[in-house]
Amino acid sequence: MTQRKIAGYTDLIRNLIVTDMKLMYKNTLLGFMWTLVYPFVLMVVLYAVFSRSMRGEVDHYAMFLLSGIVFWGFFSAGTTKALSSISDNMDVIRRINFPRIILVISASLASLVNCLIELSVFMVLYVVVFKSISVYVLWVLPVLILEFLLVLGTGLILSSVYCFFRDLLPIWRIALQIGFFATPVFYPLSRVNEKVLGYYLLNPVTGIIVMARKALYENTPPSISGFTVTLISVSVILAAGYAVFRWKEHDFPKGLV
Amino acid sequence: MTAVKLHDLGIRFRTPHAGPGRGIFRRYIYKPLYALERVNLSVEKGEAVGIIGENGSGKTTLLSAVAGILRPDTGAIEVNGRVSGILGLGIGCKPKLSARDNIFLYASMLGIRNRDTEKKFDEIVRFAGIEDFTETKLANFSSGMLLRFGFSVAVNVDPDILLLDEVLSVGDEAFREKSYKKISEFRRQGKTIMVVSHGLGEIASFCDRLVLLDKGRVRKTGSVREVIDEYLGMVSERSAGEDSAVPGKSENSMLRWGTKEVKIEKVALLGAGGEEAGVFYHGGKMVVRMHYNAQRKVKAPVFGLAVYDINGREIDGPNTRADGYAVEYAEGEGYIDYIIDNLPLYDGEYLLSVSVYDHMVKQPFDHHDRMYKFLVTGKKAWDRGIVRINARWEHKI
Repeated sequence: MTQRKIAGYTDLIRNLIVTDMKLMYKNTLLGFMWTLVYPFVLMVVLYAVFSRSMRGEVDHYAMFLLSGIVFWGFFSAGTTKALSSISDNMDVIRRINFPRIILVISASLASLVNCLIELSVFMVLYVVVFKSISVYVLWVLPVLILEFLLVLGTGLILSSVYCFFRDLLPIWRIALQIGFFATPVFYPLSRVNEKVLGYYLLNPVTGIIVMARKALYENTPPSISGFTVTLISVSVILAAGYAVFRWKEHDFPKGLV
Repeated sequence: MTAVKLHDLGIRFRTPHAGPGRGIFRRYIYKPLYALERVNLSVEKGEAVGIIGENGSGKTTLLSAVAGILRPDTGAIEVNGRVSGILGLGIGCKPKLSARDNIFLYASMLGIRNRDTEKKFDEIVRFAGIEDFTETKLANFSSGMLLRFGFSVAVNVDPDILLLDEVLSVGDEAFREKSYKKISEFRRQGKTIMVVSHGLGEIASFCDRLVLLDKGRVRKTGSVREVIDEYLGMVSERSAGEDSAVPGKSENSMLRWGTKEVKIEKVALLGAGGEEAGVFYHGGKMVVRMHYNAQRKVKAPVFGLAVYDINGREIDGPNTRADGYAVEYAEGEGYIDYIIDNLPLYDGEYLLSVSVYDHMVKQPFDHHDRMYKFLVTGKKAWDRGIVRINARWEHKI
């Protein structure tokens, strides 16, 4: 079999992302606006519950929340979408031969696009609230790339396993629910008990949210050690994901339906 | 040059079998099942190869392996050239999206750039006959439209090797005609075609060579006639085996009924040289020989037969009484021939019923309903329809 390069399939990636967007909000009144409704509603709810206890510790708690929600949302929505990207397309996988990894890449990219839209609205709010913007905001781009690679790597593992183990979807939902509380989405890192901080920082999403907040909210560059640790953990997850995927991809057509 | 080469190909699936436990607590035991085993096949560039076999013999698995969808568990596959094809009906990419979106998506899965699809778009739509439905959701397409849609994209992406899985037997007459034209065009361009079909008639009409698969193994490879004869022989052997395997039931089943006072024990289809065959030539000789066995002397039995096309339409249903041929009596073993000197049927697959009744044609002694199958070939390019009417022209001024 001639192994065709993924580069020849850029149009497929684009078509998959576009069809995904079309499908998600087809026949809805607000259409694409729904992408923005969810993070803002979540922000309002969390603000109502926690703003009092955060007083004095966090300034502009609403903006603090939004930055956390946007970056946590990318991980949570992206991995969920990537998880089912293979089994949802089993019909075509059984009929057409193309690099299967494209399905996971497209799912992750579609979530990245969503995140970028949320982020651009966030930036407008940011300028309105703070009336200024610093050059450190540009650090958000490498952080986004890191998070994309994290979503992709996690998605590669999840999608391969999900083809043969259907319990994974509920398990992953629970894991994300726990992750939401085990990641500094609505509280600062200083709230974490020092005894567990070592384990806590193993979560690569924590590193990403901390760095994103520094760029967006605190106007400082990420710490070199923090960036390196996150880069290493993301690389390990991506490499593991790629290996698992390549190992299992030929068995997808024979998997569960 | 070799386009496709299968070397000792084996493909294994795991099939679940009921294990311990009940209801939702049931556990399954998985056993390996060889869908293909030690398959060796070499297809030359420009060749059209048909793959036939019973359901579950591994035909679609073989095409999937050539398409690169299933990886060999044993052996190796070598494919030279771009493969496109339709494996199974209705590609069902995204049923909620329009045909236009689906064409681009499907083509890009086959590795075609959007700008190239753009150029071919009108042709794809025209070939599929869906000009007015490009913005219609695929979910609202009829099954015929879906089929035409899939076929149209697959053939218009300029493949070197075209795989067709059971697509030609569906679709209306007009589309079939169009597909055949496209396939002949492919053949002229020297492209390789591998086709799976149960429609033996159509497979015979454009394949150079056939492969008969039986339970995942190659049972025979060779010319169209040889392989189809082997296949029909295998099928009738199996159905005969099934009949005797279940005593009591064999005497009366969905396909066979009657009192068996006169039993039709064997039906042989004979060609021009008196040899048993499954494929006959249009305009040639064909003899239906019914071997019977009468338990007692039966006076004036009526023998009959009926020929059906593959859609179950009866084409002719003669019997000895209607034809004014008196069979005085039947006793013990004997046979009766129905001799067709000049077979008027055109290319295709036909089914045959045979029967023997009492003198009033009321009481069936033995009736075999559409239990036999044969093929006709040899149609000329200008011939149309299913049967040649015996007639002549007269022109008067």
